[in-house]
Amino acid sequence: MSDYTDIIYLSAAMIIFSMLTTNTAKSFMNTSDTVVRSDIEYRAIAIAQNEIDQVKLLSRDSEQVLKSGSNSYKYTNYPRTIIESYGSSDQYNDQFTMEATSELIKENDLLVNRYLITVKVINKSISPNVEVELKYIKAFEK
Amino acid sequence: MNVGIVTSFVIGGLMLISVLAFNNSVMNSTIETTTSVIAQNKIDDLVTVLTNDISRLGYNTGTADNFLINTGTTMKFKGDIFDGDETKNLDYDVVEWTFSNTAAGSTTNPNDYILTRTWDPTPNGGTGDEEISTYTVTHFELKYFNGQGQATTDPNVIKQIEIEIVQESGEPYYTNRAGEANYYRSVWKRTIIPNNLMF
Repeated sequence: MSDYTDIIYLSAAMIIFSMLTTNTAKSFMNTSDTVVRSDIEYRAIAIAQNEIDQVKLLSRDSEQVLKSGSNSYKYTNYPRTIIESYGSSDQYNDQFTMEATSELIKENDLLVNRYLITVKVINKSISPNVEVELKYIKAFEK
Repeated sequence: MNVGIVTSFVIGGLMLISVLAFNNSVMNSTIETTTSVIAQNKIDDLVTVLTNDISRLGYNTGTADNFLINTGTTMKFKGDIFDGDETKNLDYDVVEWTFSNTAAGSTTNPNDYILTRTWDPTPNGGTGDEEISTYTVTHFELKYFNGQGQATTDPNVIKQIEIEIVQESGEPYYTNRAGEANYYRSVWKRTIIPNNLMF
């Protein structure tokens, strides 16, 4: 080292290099986070679709099930926790919370009652939580 | 001994180690991201084909006995899988999904097995026109339920089909010094109610 200038140059180079590595590491962390989140979202959407499918299966005499306030209201005990097991011997599992509501759409239709079903599935295994929301309109003939 | 040269070598050596460690980290992250995205795309493609088939189950068949085989690993059914390929009014197809215990040789993952889709566009006529597609998955399982959500094996009362797929990356994203390979895993599980079995 001839003088302090070299040390200053070296320090500056090391700072710049460490900033580069830190930013690159952050970038890769964000990418990994996105991959994991998309995987969880994929499963959460499937769970929400399952619930929507159950509504699709309702026959025309089951309108009470979607009527908020009725004794047979489908979503009385919601939100509920769903633990899904996966794998050949159910060796993996994942926990979701499902919120669901049914709301009669107010409209001047003399023939049909329509209900807006909103299903929200939340996974808290990662921060911030992964949330997906699906909406579906079910119609019943009056 | 020139103190300046020694100091330069020490600092230069540290910098070189840092660069190598950084390069190693970048390489591992890239491998992990790439294998995970490939695994996700593979399962997404498989789910797209599978859900299309299931949603067409029983469609335009003119019959109520749409299941030909329904076991935990095989499902064979009738359905008009694609619009526009009809040569007559009730020109339904037959599709079979079979998960075998044959290890897939096309990947280095020892957990991969072969899932086969056989599509016969003319089950009542021509032969030899079946299209066979193979996929590599780690686990594939089918369960069947009636309208009340109770498990059943009776093909006449099946209204819901639960499908579970576990897909692992074909190549490891990390192998430790002991030689243990880690594979990226993606899962999909869904209970589908085909419209044509609904009532």
